[in-house]
Amino acid sequence: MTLLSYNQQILAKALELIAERGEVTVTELSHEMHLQTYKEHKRMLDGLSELFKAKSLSRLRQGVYGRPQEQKQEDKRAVMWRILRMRRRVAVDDLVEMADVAPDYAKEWLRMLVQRGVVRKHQQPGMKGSWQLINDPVDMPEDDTKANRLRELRKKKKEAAVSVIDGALKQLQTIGEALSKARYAITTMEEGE
Amino acid sequence: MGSTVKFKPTFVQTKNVRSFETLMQGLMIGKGGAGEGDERLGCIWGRAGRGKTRTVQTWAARNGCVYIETVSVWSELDFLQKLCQEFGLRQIPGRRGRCFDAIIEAMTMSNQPVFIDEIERFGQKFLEIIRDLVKITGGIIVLIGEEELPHLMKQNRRVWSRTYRAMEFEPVSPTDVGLYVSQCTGLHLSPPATEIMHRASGGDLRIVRRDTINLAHAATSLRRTGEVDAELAAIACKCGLKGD
Repeated sequence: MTLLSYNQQILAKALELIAERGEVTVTELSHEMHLQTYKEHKRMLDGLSELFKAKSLSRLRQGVYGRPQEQKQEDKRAVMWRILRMRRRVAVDDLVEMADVAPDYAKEWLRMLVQRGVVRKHQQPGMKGSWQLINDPVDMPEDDTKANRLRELRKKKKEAAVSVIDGALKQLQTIGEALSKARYAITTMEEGE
Repeated sequence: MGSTVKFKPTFVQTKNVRSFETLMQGLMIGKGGAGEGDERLGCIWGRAGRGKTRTVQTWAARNGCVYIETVSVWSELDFLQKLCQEFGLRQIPGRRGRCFDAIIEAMTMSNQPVFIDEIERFGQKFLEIIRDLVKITGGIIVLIGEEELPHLMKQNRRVWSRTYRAMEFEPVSPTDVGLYVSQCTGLHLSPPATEIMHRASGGDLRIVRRDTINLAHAATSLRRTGEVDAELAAIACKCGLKGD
């Protein structure tokens, strides 16, 4: 007795055939599953349709199925950029809803665009702000916020390292002066003293 | 002390959104395959405030599609040049014929649908251009507009015969209202509260959104938790104008 649901059985068989042949037709699948009647065939077609909707399989052509397409994570900034270009004027809430991003992320991105002169912020006292596209370069401006942050971090690390070295140099200088004094004292010491 | 109820903007899968996604799946199936038909045009229509544009823009932005919202002063050349720009052409031709050729080339290369909003304001003028683009490239173009759009397309037999489906964005249903409030605020509406909010909206999604924001404020200030009753829903709906 099988523990798999009917759709899981279809999926397992379909993936097995796809692994062998690259794709599978509904006729091949029906044959491989030993379906005898039209009713059974129809049930399988319904199952395939559900699997396609659930993105467990991809439909290559009519009646031909293939491996599920890999869901690539769309760059959120690219989605926000398209929304801004479509609407010309956006609020943070628009980006949160339509691009599915966090409000702080959307605000930071809009701030970067304001610095670049791509959008202008409008805000009435006590109201939520909106950002208007004033200069459309068509291609998305590169977001260098992260690069700037790394640059700042590197600068701080460099300053910290230089200050440690300066401190060490000062100490060495003090030691050097003390040693010079000691040397002078020893060399100027009279015999038998 | 009751906790704060916040409104979180969320793209809610209403019935219209689900129907739109089904339409897009139907249009996309067979693109470039053996089962490809001639019906490469889609039509999305409905009254203002039903969420057509927002749904289409969200889908187009998430899938990297070309989307154009027409402007009333556009000439045919402006329209074609805008299409060229949205297809990412670096040098946009100054003549209609060359623009058209450039778009043909871009559409042939791309598998993504093109969305054109508020096309009905130009009458038949741009429909013929769109029909030619679809006929030559086999690409998918989805037109979005108000009630006049399907009538306009039906008047042009050659356009209508290439239309896969005309989908109406229907008024939001009570189920959609409940789903929207639940997903954006985490509050659950009682059946009478759903009925009040649905009636107040007149099927308009913008009014549902506004009343949901009011509801979150009212629930916070009155320190209400749990299921939203009719009284609270009435308070939220009275804060704004009513739909018809």
